[in-house]
Amino acid sequence: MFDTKKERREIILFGYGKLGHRVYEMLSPYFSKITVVEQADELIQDAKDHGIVKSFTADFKQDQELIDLGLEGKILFCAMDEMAMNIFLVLSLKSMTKNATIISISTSAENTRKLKFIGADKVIDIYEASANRIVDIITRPAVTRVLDEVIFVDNGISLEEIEIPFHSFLEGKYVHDIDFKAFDLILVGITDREMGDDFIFVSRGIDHKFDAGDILVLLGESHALENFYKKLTGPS
Amino acid sequence: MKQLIVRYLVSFSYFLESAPYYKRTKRFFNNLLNNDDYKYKKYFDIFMVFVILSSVIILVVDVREHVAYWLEWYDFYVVTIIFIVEYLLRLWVHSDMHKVIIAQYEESEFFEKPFSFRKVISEIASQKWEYMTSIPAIIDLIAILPSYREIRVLRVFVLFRAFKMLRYSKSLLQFFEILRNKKIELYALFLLLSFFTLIASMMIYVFEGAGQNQNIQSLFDAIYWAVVTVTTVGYGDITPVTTEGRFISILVIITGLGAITFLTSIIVSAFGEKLPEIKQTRVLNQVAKTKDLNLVCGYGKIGQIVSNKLRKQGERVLVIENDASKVQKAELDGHRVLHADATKSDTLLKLKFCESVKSVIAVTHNDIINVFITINARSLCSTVEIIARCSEKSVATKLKLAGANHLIMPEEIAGMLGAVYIGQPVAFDALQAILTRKKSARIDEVEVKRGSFLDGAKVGDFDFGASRLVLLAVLKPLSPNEKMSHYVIFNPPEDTELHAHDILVVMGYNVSIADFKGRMEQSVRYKKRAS
Repeated sequence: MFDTKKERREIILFGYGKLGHRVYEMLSPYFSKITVVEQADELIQDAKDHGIVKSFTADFKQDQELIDLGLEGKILFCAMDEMAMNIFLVLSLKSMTKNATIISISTSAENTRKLKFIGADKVIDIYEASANRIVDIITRPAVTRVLDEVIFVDNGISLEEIEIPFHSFLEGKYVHDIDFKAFDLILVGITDREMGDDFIFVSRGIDHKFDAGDILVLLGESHALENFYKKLTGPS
Repeated sequence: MKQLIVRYLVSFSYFLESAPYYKRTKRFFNNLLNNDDYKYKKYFDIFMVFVILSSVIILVVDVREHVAYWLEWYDFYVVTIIFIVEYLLRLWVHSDMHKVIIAQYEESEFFEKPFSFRKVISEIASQKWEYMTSIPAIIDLIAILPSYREIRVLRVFVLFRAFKMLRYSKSLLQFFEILRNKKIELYALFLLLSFFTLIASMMIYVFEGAGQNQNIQSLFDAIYWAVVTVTTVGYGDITPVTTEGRFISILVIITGLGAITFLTSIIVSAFGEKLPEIKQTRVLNQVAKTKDLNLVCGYGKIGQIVSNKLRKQGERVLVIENDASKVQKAELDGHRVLHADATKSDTLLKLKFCESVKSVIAVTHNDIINVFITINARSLCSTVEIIARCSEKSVATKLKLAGANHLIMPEEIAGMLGAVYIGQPVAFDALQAILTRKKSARIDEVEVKRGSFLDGAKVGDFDFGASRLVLLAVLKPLSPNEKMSHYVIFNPPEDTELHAHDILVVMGYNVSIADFKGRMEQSVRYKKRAS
């Protein structure tokens, strides 16, 4: 992930129990601005013992304590061990923010439905995600291996989304005009502003015209992605 | 003279012991007759049922009609010979005579005692006698008798031919097995009922046997009446005529009803108790012939989703669960379930583990149990794929050591998905769509078949773009003929050579992928035809 993204995203992680602790471990290599908030003093002590300076206690039932954290524009990650608390938290956060992204962990299809209903932007069902992974390992081992290398293994290959800036060399050109292979990249898909905000897979075969604001999803090695990004944001 | 016989006998026994052909033949017949797992036994059983049925039909038809000569001939010679041969074969495979001789010879050599013929003969006879006096063997022997038609009463033994069919039907045998578990209760009921019937029949005889009732002429008539009444059959050919007799009838009828209710409840409870066992046997029989089985150990949240998804994709699934309520849930969901403990070797061995199981998925909510399941599975089979779930990091290393191929850590997966979503929401959605196959674009794997148009070609030789496909990666085997472990080449350069058993990971819409796979198959067939 590009450093700018790493710096730009501000995350508030609610919960530092069994689940929150592991979520923090997975997020911390990618994002530098993570604040941990917990209800239990001993868990915040744990967080401080693990070297997390920005960790605070708050009573989630008191709206003002949550507002004081400065929620607007941030990513609010609810990862409490207790599902009822996650639902309550998402409801509280939704009612007091306008442009924050709320992500919540869920442990069942029923909770996922409730969380989506009250307005969580993204719900991650940990058991369903785990089950999907098991099914993929059995039914599509090679695909799983490749996706693992992209997502889980730190070998420099990643999936990256890049927004086309104004006046870049891509503007006005078509997908077929650009040889992504020459950049050592694979273009997976594109969100074309002209065709609505839906994601379109490149394999669909429609020759899209690139415009500023379109989001490209690219797969490749970090340095190739970075070179492409520099070329894109540099003078055309 | 005795020494000479002993010498020949012993050397012949040693010859048999070391003769592979003899052993093979005997093993074959033993499997054919007794081993339910032997694949040809089924055909033998069907053949025997056919022989029995045909013979019974001939014998029954022959009671009033005259059957064709060739049918009589078939029944007299063919069926009888088959039955005799079967009986002798069963007697032969029941025990090894030559082993008894060898054992006696070695014993006599060791203790420097003379070889005892008497001991050998009595030992062999007792072994064979043990078989001959078993109920199935007696039925077999009696079933041979009806062939001798001169004695009419022998025809009664036709029935035994029908009984013989029990041998070839597992479910019928199971029925008797279940009743055997309740033999004390059944015996008590039978005794009580016999006693009561006897008393009742004597009483009716006393009250009505002295001429009051024309139909009761003897004690046998009275017993007949009592049995017909107590069983609630009531033909009505003998009815009581005196008040005392009617009073006894009332008592007999009430007792009979009670006894029948009691008998029914014994049988029902016997089945109730044995039902789980019957189900287990049925499940084991079903999976015995299955290959590529996925064992889902633990039917918790993950286990449920995995089992349902795998089944939807046409994979064979067997759930192993120790908790009765979860077993019931899995059954209701339509899965094959084994109510057993997956940490025990017995459970896995029952499944012919290494031959029939493709993967073991240890997803109980307890990390320690998952470690045990992994150890159990790996110690029994080195090639099976093991996927184990754990929450604690410290357990993860232990699971790897125990032999798990893949670890599933739900909390870690959640964190990782969160990280990807926060960093790349658009890519995340794309990935989710690809993984859950919700939209029609997906990533799939295509193996390069030997002799296909890609075998020996270069990546650049095929225009993936024109086929509406994106080649993401090529997985190459670590060594030739190695199908399990691969290394990955991402975004392979145009000059990458492709060979048989390479796996292409392509992204595309269903139709494009299906078309590409079809083209691969077609080119192999075309090449085969051409050569």
